Amino acid sequence: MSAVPGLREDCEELLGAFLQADTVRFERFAELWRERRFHTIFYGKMRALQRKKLTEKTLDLAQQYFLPPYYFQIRVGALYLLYGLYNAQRCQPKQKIRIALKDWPEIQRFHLDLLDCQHYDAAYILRKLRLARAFHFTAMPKLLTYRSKKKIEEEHFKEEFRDPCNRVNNLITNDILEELMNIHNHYQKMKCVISADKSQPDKALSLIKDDFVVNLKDLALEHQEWHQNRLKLLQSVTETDEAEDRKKEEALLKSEGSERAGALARIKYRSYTAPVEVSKSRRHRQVQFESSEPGSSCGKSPSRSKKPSRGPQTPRRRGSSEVRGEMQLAKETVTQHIGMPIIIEEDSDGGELSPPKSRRRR
Amino acid sequence: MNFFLVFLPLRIRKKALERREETIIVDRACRQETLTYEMESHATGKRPDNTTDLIEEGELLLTLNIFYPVIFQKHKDHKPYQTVLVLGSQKLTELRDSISCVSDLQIGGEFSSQPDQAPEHISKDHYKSAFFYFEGIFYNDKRYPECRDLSRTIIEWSESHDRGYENLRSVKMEDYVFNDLSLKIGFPYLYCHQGDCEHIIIITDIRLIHHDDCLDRNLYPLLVKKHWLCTRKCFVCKMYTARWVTNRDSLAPGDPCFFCDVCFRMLHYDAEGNKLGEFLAYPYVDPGIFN
Repeated sequence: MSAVPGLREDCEELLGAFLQADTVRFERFAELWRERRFHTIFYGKMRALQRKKLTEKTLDLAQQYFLPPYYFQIRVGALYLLYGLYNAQRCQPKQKIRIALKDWPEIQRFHLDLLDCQHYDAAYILRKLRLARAFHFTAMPKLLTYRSKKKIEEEHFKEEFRDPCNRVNNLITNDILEELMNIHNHYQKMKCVISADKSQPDKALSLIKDDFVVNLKDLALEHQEWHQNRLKLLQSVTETDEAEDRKKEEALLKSEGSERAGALARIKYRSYTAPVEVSKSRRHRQVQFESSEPGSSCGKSPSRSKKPSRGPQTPRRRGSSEVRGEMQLAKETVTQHIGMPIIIEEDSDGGELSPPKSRRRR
Repeated sequence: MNFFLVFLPLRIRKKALERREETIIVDRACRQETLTYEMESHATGKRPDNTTDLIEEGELLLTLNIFYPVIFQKHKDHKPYQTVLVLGSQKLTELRDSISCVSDLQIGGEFSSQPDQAPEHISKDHYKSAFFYFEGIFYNDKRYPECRDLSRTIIEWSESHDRGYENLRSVKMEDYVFNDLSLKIGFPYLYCHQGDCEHIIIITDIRLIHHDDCLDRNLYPLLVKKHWLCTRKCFVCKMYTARWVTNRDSLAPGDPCFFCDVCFRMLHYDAEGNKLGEFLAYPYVDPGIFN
């Protein structure tokens, strides 16, 4: 859908402004809409056929922001946008908004969310659209067309509107933990049954840690915390200019007062960035190492488990440089992948390679 | 004056408009565009006179692309097709009857000696067999006793050598409505009639019927898109669509040569209807007659 040139930019601009306004109220959106005179988007001498196509494509575009994976606020904004576009269109009868079967439960959930959060204006708009019969309930999100294109353009939607989903949290839910707990209990019972002493499993059978589920939960929580911190950091980084950053850092360093700290920080920074290439293979070896010894097969990720130990051990003075390092790191990873860069951090404060076993003991 | 042109699309559109004003003398929709729009919208919002024909809520509406059987080299990037809307509760035979294809209208035989005797019967009346192929099942048209099972040879062929097509079976087309089928959207299926006239069918969309759609059951299957085909004109008057084609014609400038009915008779027969000169004449059906 290469569609209408420039339309995406305009829609994104409006939604971006709505995001900046930091609200989901319709009044604010309407203000923004009026400021931009957005209803004129369908103006221009057009004949019926062209008008129809244009409207179809416009609605199609706006509709994509209405569905996940975008921020709740963007989705509300897209809902208002759809409402505005639907009513501002000049087709007769009006072009409809295509909603695919697979997306409809998502929209119903969204509606419930709106009601739960008492965003009644948004809920009202959604209801209004439904009552106006603005939706086509279709099997596919887009009408299929078949023709071999000379070049197929990739669609780039604005990444900033995307709601960053946390895979780890999605994976480790309460239900899953409970399920795991049940399985674990069951396993334990089975072991008791087959072992000689009925009340306690044989030593030979203890192949797994008993507190595995609890550990997993802790890890998940820890990860969540780290993730949030990182997000905050990311935001602070993106908000301020790089130059400003540098200035701030310099100021911070100066406030530390010692040249040595600066040098240390620089060394540390280098060590933060350096082992990126090595880390993978090393991680691999670590895992192997661990799994070979009995009792640790529950897959307690070594990189994660290490993390809390770092907190108390670091002296306060390190604070600033560490922040700096993390910020640098954050800046680096922004463009790459919101993944698991902690390994690098911990490597740096270890300074050099040490066998994971000894680290865990610390 | 351009105070409202803050949007990129509007600015682009304005530029296009200005260009149009500069270059085009008469600004009006071309015939093609009018046709497309008419086809798309001629039935929107129509209501039946009889309330029993009103389509109920929750009815399914399928969009089918039916491709033309012959794909020319020049169409290799963009295969021409017709688009038809069908209701989920309609029988397959209703779709079969609505598909118009020139090969159904052919008249076989050579009629140079008695042009008035050209039979009224077209191929469709002679050879009524046809089948749809959806998901491993052949839906054969068996409404008439003279219908043959066109799919039989295919099934036998696949069974005879274990060619990797298992579970092919054939059923009667008239027993099935679209709701009974399980279909893949965007998958190419087949409609075959007249023995070897094969149309690819692709289902591009399935949706619930909407208040603003045409709600008259009798108007479905509804043709919403078709091509404007060039018609072959009579070589004499260059005005009317050709009805006859002649071969080895001593009176014609070329071979084959096309004539409309009037010119054909005026040139090839005297006042009493006697044949003049040597030629073979065949009735000709132009693909453009559906325009």
